[in-house]
Amino acid sequence: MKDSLADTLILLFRNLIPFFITLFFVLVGFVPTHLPLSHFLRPDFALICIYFWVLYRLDLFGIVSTILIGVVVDSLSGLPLGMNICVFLFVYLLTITLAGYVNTKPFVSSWLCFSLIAFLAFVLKWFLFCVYFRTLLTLPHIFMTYVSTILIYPLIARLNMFIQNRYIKTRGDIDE
Amino acid sequence: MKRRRVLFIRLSQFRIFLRKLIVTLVVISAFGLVILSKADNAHLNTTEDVVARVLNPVIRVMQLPADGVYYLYEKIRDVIRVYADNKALKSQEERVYYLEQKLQALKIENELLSEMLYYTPPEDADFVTAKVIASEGDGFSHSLIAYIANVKSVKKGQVVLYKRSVIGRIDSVHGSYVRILLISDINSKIPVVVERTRAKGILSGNNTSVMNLLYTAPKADIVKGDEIVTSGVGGIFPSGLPVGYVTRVSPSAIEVEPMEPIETVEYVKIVNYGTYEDFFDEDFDR
Repeated sequence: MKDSLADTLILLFRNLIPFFITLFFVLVGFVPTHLPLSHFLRPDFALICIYFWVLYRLDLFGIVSTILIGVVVDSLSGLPLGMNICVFLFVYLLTITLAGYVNTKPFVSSWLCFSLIAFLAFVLKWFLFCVYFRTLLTLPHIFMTYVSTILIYPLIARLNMFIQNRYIKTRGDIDE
Repeated sequence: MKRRRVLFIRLSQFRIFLRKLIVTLVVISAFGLVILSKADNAHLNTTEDVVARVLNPVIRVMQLPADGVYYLYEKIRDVIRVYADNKALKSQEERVYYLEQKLQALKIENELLSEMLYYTPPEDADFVTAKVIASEGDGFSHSLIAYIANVKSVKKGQVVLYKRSVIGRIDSVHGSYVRILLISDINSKIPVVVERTRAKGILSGNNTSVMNLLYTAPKADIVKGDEIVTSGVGGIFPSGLPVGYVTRVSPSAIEVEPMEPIETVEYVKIVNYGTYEDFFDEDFDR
């Protein structure tokens, strides 16, 4: 039996949820809160979401979504177009490589794996930035961003898990 | 009969090869894009412009709950502060506290806007007050996005002030939104002078909350607490605009902090001095 148009649209919408959730978190990252330390503690939500969705739902969050998120982040942050795309593609490839190992392990393993991938991603971004602007960028501020990204990962991952299990789930639950 | 040797490639293997080839090409293209950005490609600028025009209104809407959180935070902080005062002044303060609470909501907005009038631009300059709707303050970029409605006079390069000091300049205009390059951004270089001794230098951001005063004379008389103002050299910033204070002087570096806390900026004043039109045109590369 052929699916109705409504079914097709619902399926399409469901398949686009990971991309729009990532976009939502990216935009949240740009909203100024004016709270103390908010200028320094800026988690990289895009990195978290890309890692999560590529790890657990590669079928719904592919290379095109990764590139589009990179374009959005580069355009809004004022960084040269392509810099975040490179970093996100790097995360995408690393996550795919490690997915087979991490997917079967408890949540803590995926968190540790994210810490490693995020570290390498920040190093790559720092390197690209330094080469592009021909200047040596000081590390403490970037380290703060890295630490805040690692610390907020469980929260964002749980939210994404909830969305996956509640609204998308077609391949079974994610092991926690 | 002799059998011919045929090279068999399975379809699945070919697909894997194709997938790897595509990923490799995409990664190379991304690096190419970074290099292309350096050349200020018009198509790339258009892409950025389109994304900014589409998503900035969304961020503006998303800012409403964030404003609510900040309002709550302000409330809680004020309550704690007033409670402390109240304890010291006992019953006399209770009445004042009650009235303060009633006026608080209007006061916050009113204070922000009225404080911005501390600095009066020269008569030949006009200004626009804009609300900050997004900020980027990680280790890689320090910028703000502000809403300017339909004001057409705002152009790239114009000076951005907070209450009375310079906090940046317009980096790009996307319809009703502008991106502001903050003075703490690594790309920001402003010719300045020390107000007390008129020692010249270049104020350079480094993506932290503290900036560096570079290219000063070796024996320049600069001490902690000196006020730094724009020198007017280069013609982009008019002379005499306050920028920050010297916070540390060492043989290796002179550190300057912004005069006003940039992280709490809610409204900014974009001033058109008309001094930089020759420097920034559509194709100007920062």
